[in-house]
Amino acid sequence: MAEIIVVTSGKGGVGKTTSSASFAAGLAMRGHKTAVIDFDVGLRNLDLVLGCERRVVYDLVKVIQDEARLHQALIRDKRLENLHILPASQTRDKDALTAEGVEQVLEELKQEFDYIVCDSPAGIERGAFLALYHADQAIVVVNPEVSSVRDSDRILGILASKSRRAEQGREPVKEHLLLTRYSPEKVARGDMLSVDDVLEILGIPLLGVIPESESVLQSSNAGLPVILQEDSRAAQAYQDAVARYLGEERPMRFLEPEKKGLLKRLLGG
Amino acid sequence: MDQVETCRLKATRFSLPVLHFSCRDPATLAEFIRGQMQRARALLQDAPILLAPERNLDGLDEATLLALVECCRAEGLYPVGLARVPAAEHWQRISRLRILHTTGAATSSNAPSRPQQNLWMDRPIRSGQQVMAGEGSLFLLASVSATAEVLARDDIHIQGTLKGKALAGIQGNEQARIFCRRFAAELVAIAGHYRLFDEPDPQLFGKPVCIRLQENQLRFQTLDMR
Repeated sequence: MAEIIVVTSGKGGVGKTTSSASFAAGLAMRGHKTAVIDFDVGLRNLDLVLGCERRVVYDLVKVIQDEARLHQALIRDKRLENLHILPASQTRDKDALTAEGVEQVLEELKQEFDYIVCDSPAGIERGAFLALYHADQAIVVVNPEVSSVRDSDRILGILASKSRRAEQGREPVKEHLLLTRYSPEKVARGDMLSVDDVLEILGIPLLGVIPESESVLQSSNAGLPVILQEDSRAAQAYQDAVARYLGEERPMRFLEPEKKGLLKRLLGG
Repeated sequence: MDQVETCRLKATRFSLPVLHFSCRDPATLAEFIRGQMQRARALLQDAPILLAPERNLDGLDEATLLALVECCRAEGLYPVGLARVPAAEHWQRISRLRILHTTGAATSSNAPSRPQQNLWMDRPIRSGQQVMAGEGSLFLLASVSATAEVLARDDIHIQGTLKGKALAGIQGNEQARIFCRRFAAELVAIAGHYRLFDEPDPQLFGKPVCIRLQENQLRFQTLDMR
């Protein structure tokens, strides 16, 4: 039976879609059949970030409205055979999503996938709510910055009280913290919240810390999930996060300011 | 398209000034009312008020009550009801005022009259959430995030950090107390007496604190929890 993972945050622009793409790719790389769904109806981005925007024919809304079958809408990634993408509609808006429709799509996906990653839109309205409602686990993406932290606290409250698991009194949704755009230099200067600061406020287990990295922008523009850009620090951090999610022990990396060796400093690296 | 609603019957709370009086001499009462009107005419002019005789109607006769009502009206106040009067029809008839049942009884004895039912919680109260223990005390084995609110009829115990708002004794229990392991609250209140912390108080911040109401003032005590 599949596991449904929601990637959510509350705040916009913190790295949900980037993280959904890389996390789903990471699971697929390890041999798990993974589907990633874009819940941001009307403002779809997941297809861009995964480089399949020109192959989108059908989408989640068309499947819900019975205009297409699920398999017609799912796009298989060209690089990773275990990864499938269900894009969002670009022409409709979130009101086109229905709770029953989403449930049916997820039930169908559960039959053949190991993991279903739901890329949530920002906010706490319908789209975000439907993305988290059926989740078994949640990856809460947070920037080390006060508004992002507060919005994530809000989302955690909603996960704990309004998810389906909460409504049915089942085991609560398991929460994981993914701290993104982390800059140890800024933390050292006191300009940015540290990992401990964020943990103190949110109090959920830390899944990973993704350092601020130019490779994220480059990959995004190239339609490549960051995790596939092997030499980048962000990619390695995403690999660590996926490994931890699957139960491996990995020490947290990229928490200290980068020590530039003499050669690097001479060559301006 | 939604139908436009044309009428609704809805319970709403209002605040009314209440004239509590133990005096039974019409002249003294009249003088008091005139004095009040002189001092606060802008506030009281045309105000609906309730009349609440103290000392249980001892010595209150019809004539005095009527005189009081007349005096109020003459001064521009609008008595709309009687409070703390047993629902005996003749008071209503004489004064032509409705008798309103208030929960005034609570102020004479602080013991809660309904059986206590405490609320135990062990998950953090997150930003935007509100938890209310309406029938007793709240025991929280976690923290209260900023902007979150916890309320209780009686006490509030927080085995964690209090960053949001805590309101104890919400139905008037002045003996209610608030405990927390780490104090960083935005607002605390006991039986309606509140204090807002727009700046963290250095003497309290981060410490285990117990808060209670003494002589209508909130008293803060840091606890030594070694």
